[in-house]
Amino acid sequence: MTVGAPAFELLSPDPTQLRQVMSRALATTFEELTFMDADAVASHQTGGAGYVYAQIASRAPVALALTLQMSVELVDDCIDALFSGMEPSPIIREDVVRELINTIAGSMLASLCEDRLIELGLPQSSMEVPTMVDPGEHHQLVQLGSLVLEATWR
Amino acid sequence: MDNVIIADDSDTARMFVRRCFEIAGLAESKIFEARDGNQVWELLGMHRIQLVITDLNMPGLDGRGLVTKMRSDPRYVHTPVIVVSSAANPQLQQEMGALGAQAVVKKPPSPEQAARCLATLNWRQRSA
Repeated sequence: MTVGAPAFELLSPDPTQLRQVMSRALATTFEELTFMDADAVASHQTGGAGYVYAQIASRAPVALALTLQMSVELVDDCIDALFSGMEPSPIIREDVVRELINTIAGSMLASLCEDRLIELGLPQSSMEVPTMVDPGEHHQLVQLGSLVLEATWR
Repeated sequence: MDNVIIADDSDTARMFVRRCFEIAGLAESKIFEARDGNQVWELLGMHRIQLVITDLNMPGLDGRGLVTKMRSDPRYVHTPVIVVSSAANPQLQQEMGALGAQAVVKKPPSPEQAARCLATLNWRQRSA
């Protein structure tokens, strides 16, 4: 995943503020999209059936990459909340996790800066640990049970 | 009956947006779904569409490109467009308003937000 060149000066994330924004965006997104609170998300401690990963690049107002890791069990709970009765499949699992990271990223960046346009790339997903082309020098991480949200930037 | 298009490359998002807007007042509308702006464009040519609800960040023709294309075509210059975006902020509202979109809704929308949005369009459900 590469981060494109911005047309104007980028903001530099403050790690402490970024962590707060990540936590808030994570909680809000799960509540609003899957109707699950933080306790329900954190109740999944391990990923016995494996994990689903998604990544998204923010190009502005902050250049960073976000990676979301969720256990298959947690993703299946989300699918049940969203599409009650639907049998989970790898395709719908990845679609749900892509939409989650897209919403988390938008929520994070909108709260970081109201007066700048936000440029996000298209989310990518996989059932394997993703390889970051440009991992960046800095990182910040939020964990809720088996869920991990990581931001990396230069 | 009104014909409405909901565009998003995510099945999850389309389902969620559709459900919210159906609760908010589109329950009697015929809703077509599209995965990107190019599919919206095809549907616009096939049906009389009264409202387009679109994501911004899509592969192929994205939401910005779609609004720009619609506003430059006399056939669709007045067709209302609602943009649904996770990156909604005042700056995006200003940009999309300048391009010709009627409203911007934060993703994921709630039925209440969707209803407010339809109210700003003076949306009245037409009977079949």
